[in-house]
Amino acid sequence: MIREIATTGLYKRRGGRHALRGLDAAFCAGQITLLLGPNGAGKSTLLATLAHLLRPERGSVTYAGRPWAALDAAARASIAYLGHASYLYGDFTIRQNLERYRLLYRLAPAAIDQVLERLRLAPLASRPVRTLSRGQVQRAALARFFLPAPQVLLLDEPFTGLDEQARVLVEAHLVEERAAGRLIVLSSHHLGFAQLVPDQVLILQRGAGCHQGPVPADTALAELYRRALERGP
Amino acid sequence: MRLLEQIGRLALGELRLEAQRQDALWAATFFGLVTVVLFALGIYDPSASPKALPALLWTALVLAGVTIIQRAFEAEREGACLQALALIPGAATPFFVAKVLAHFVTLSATMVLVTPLAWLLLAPDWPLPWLLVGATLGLGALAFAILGTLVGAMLEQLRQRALLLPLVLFPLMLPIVAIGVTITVEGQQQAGLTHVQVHIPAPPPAQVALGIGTAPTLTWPVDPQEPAAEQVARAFSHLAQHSAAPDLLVWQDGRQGVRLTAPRPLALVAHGMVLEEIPRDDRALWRQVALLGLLTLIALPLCLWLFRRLLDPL
Repeated sequence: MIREIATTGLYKRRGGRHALRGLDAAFCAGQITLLLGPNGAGKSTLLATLAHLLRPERGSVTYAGRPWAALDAAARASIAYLGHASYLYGDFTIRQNLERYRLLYRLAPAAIDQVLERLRLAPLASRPVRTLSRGQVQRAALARFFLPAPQVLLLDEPFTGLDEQARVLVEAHLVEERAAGRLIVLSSHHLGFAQLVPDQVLILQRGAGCHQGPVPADTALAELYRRALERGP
Repeated sequence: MRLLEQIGRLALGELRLEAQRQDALWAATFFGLVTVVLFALGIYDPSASPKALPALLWTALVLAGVTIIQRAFEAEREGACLQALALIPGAATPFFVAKVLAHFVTLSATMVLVTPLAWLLLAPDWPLPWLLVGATLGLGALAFAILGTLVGAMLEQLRQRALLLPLVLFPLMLPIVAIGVTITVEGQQQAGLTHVQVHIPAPPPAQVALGIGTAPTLTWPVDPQEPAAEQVARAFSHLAQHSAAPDLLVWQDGRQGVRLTAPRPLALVAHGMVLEEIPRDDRALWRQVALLGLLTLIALPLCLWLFRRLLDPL
């Protein structure tokens, strides 16, 4: 089980600019780390690198002290990533999409109904993804994300397009997952959470960290974010 | 869950997706049928039609195949589903094999419609060795599905994929198509055309150079049940009613042989011809089919390995 992910001197160029510039960070199981930063600060690049979808030019990522190459298949499968793309087939229904991923993950058939129930998607399960609204597609993408019951949850803007009800539901799930000892890293532009209180905040600016640590008890998240950006990396 | 079960279920899902989208199947079938019909209409010389059949079948297979592969990863592209595959350990193999199977079934279904139509339009009087042609085209379709799935995945993110796909895929398919066409041509000839050949002593090279020594030939269907001599006699009486320029000369066993593929046979008699029935060599043809199968078999693990490399992080 992966109890910790650490990055050392992470450097990555994307689209001709420095997306990450020597980033050192650590993420622990049983904690929610909130990634904050303006557009282009490197949040998505960091999450994709943690998920091993991008390879850094310099620096390293270790999973419980081991590099990706040393992880076995079970450890790799325990890492789930939710990106900007839905990873869903538009012509398939939600259930057919989940069935496809269930087969690829080699899960038991019951996993589909469990995740549909969990995200309250059962009434929409027979509808093709192409016919769903933006928020419904995001919920279906979250269902795909939660399907393999991952140990490490990497979520890039998971609340995009969600209505208030769905947002609260997802927050509640993330809190549950933390209680179950999962390692959670999520990025968001949204600072006002209903239930979710991050254990630590990593604020990025131009690819470098300008704050990593818990939110001080006497400081609001928005205030911490403003000060960190003013101070800079 | 066993790997074969996993692949089977994924392939069914792919076919369901294909059935829901329908565009690739219809486009490939339409393309194949139009190719056959246009070819049939474009060939004026009825004696040339049977010879064109093998080439036409492989042309239809390649063009229909490209149509299918061009749309092969559209569904994945919309949702960036190939990226999701990189997140699931061990998923690349069943995914790739299932895709290949689905493309193979779709292409085979197209060829099942195209082949009889091509035969009816171009060579209805010629007995076609269906098993041999079916096996050869089937292996060709499988090889195309394997190579096409890899190339389709490689070009998935590129804007110029419609242009690049044939440019990359056709050279890769060349050995398969070359062997496949050879088998189909020889299979078709042995099934009907060249069971009977007429040999004449070779004319002096000077005559050949001047064009005097060329001998006439004629096309006509050969019934394997009928003795060769009777068929030739029947053909001669048929030839007497026609006239056309000689079109084919072959050298065999040190003698100049003339395939009966054009009229004016009486000149052959004057040269003192020798009639010979050429035995059908099925084993040689099936050996070539086995070679085609071997090439296809080698292509699968190689393409699978390249596909897995393709999913590596950038």
